[in-house]
Amino acid sequence: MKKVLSLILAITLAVSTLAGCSNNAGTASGTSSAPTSSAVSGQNPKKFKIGFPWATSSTDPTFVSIVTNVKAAVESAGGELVLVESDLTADSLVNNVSDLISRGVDGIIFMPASDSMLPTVDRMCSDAGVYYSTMFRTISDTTIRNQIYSSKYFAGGCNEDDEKCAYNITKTLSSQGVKNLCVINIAKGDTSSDLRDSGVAKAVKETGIKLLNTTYGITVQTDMTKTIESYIAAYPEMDGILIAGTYCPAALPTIEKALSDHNLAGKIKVGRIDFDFTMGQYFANKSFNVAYGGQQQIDPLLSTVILVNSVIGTPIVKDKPFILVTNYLELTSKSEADNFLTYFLGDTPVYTSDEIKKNLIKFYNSNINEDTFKKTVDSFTVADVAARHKDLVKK
Amino acid sequence: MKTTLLKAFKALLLPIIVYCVFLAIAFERFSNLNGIYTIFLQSIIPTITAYAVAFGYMCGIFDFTIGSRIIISGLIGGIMSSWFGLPGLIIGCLASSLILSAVTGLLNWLCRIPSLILTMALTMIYEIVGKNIAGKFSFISIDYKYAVLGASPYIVYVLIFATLIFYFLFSYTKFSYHMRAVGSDEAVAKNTGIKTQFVKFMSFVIGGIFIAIAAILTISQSGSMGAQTGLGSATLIFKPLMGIMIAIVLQPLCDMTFGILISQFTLNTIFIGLIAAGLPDTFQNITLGFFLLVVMIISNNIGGSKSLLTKIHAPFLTRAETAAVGSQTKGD
Repeated sequence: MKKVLSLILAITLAVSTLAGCSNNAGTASGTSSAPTSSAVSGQNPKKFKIGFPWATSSTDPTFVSIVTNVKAAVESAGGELVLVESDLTADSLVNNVSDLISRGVDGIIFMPASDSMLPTVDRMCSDAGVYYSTMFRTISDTTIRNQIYSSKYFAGGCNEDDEKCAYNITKTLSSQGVKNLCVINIAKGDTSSDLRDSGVAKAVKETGIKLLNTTYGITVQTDMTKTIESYIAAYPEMDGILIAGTYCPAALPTIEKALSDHNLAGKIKVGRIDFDFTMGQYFANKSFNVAYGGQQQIDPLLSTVILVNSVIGTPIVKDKPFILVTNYLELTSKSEADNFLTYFLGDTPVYTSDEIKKNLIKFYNSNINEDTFKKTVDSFTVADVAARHKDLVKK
Repeated sequence: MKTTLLKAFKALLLPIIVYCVFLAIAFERFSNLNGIYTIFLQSIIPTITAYAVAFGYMCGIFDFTIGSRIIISGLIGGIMSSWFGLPGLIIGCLASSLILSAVTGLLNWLCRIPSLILTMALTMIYEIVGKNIAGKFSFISIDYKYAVLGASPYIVYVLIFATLIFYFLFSYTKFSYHMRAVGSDEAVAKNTGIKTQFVKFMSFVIGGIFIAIAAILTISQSGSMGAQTGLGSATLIFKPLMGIMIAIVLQPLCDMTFGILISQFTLNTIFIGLIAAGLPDTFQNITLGFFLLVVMIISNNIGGSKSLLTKIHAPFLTRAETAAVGSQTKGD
C-alpha cells in the first residue's frame, strides 16, 4: 500500500514540476498565444510577491479600501501581497523599499511622498532587479522624470490630473453662485497640493471669483474649527469653501458643525476634492454641494495591475513605462454618495479578481493594450461599478 | 490693589498691542466686535488644555500624552452620550480622562525613566487605543443637541468654572507649592520631606480634570472626535505650550491663570489677524514662531536691555539716577 501511495505521489510531483516548467516558459517569453488561452487552459504565471508600504494600521475606510483594491490586483494573477506599515513620509518609504527588497519581493507599489525620493528608490530597485510602480502622484521635476522614465525597472503607474480637477470643481462652485471663496489644502510642498492650488488659481482667474484665503496642512479638528470660524469672522462676504485636500479626520462634519453653529450651513456652498464617507447626509441637507474623487480606489488598483503585468513578463507597453491618467468622478447627490459608500468602500474591490484577470492582465488576454486600459478608465463611474457589482455587494 | 490693577493692565497691553497692529493692517476686517468675540471663544479650548499642561510643566514633566488623552476621553464621552445624553458625555470624558491620567502617572512613578520618553511611547499606544475605539470610520459623532457646551454662551460658563478651579488649585493649595518645589529642584524638594513621586502622580491626575473639560468642549465644538496616529495627537499641545511659556514671562505682572488666558488670546489674535490680512498659512507659522522668540528673548534679557538703555542715556542722566537704574538692574 505504501509503495502504491509513494508511486502516486511521485507521479503527482513529476506532473506538477512539468506544469511549473511550462508556466515559466510562458512567462519568460512574455507571449501568451491566443486571447485568453492561458486562462482557458488554466495556466497561471509564476508565483510572485508584490510589496506595498502603506498606513496599514489605519482603519479609515478609504485607506482600507486601497489595500483591498491592491490586494485584488495582485491576487488576480496568483501573486502574494506583502504589506509593511509606513507613515508615508519620504524617509520612511525609502526604508520600507529597502526592507521589502530584503524580503525578496518581485515588485513594489507605493505612493511617492516627493519627487526627490524617486532616484534613491530607482537605484535600490535597479540594483536588486525589482520592478516598481507609483500611484496617485505624477513627477513634476523634469530631470527626475526623465531619469525615472528611462529606468528599466520603473513599470509606470497612475496619477490624476489634480490641476484639472481643482479647476473643474472651482468652476462648478462658480456655476453654483460662489463669488468669494476660501480654500483649505494639504501642506505646501506636496505635489498634489501645489497642482490643486494652481488649478484653483486658473479657475479663479477665469471665473472672476475672489479667492479670499487659503489655509494649508490642517490635521486636527480643533484647527479646522478655528480656521472656519476665523474665515466667518474675517470674511463676512465668504459664500464658498473648497476643501482642496486635507488629512484632518472628520473634516466635513467639523466644517458643517462650525457653519451650523453660525447658522450658515446651507448658505455657504461647500465643495471638496477626495470623497468623504459622510457626504451623503450633507448632500441630503443641501449643506454640501459638490465632491470630486473616486480615484482613490481605481488608481491603486490600476497602478498595481501595471506593475503585475511587468513582473509576470507581459508589460502593457514595451521598453517604456506605462503612465495612465485616471479621471476624477463628480458627485452632487445623496444617491450617488450612497452608491459610492456601498460599492467603493465595502469589502469588494472596484474590479473583482475575475474582471481584472479578463480585462487587465495581458497574460490571460493578449488583446489588452494601452487603448483598452484607457477605455476602462473612461467607462469607470460610480454607476458603472454599481451596475457591475449589484449582485455581489450586500446593501 | 492699585498696583495689582496696574500690573494686570500692563499684562493686557500685550493682546491690545497685537490687536492694534492688525487693526492698522486690516481695519475693515478686524474692527468688528464679532471678530474679538470669535478670538475670545477660540481661546477657550487651548486655555483649558494649557491648564492641563501647566500642572505637569510646573513639576518638570514634559507630557506628550495630553493630546491622545483628550482624544480617547472625547471618543468615550461621545459613545456614552449616545446612551445617556449630556450626562453620559460629561461622565464618560471625566472617568476615562481620570483613569488614563492615573495610569500615566502610575507608570511615570514606577518606570523611573525620563517623562519625555515614557509619554512619547504611551502616546503611540494611546493613539492606537483611540483608533480602535473610533472604529471603522476613525471618528465618532455626537448628536448636536448634546453639543451645547461647545457653543456660546455655555462654553464661556465652562471657561469661568475651569478658571476658578485652576486658580484655586494652582494658587491656594499646599500641593501647588510642592509641585513648584519639585519642578524647581527635585533633590532639594525630596530632602525637605516632599513625596516627589506622589506630587508628580497627582499632577497627572489633577491635570486629568482639565483634559476631561478640554475633551468635552472639543467634541462639542466640532460635533465629532477623530482619532490620530503617528504622534498626530501631539499637535494639540504645541499652542497651549506656547501659551504657558508666554504666561511664565507675564508672571511678574499677573497670575498664571490669567496669564495663560491672555497669551492664548494673543496667539489667536495673531492667527485671525493674519487670515484677515489675507496672508497665507505658511506666514502664520513664521509669525507665531517669531512672536514666541521675541517674547522669550525680551523676557530673558530684561537686565541686559536695561543696562544697554542706561549706557545709551548715560550722558543725559545725573549720577543719582544712574545709581538708581544700576541698583534696579541688579535687583532684576
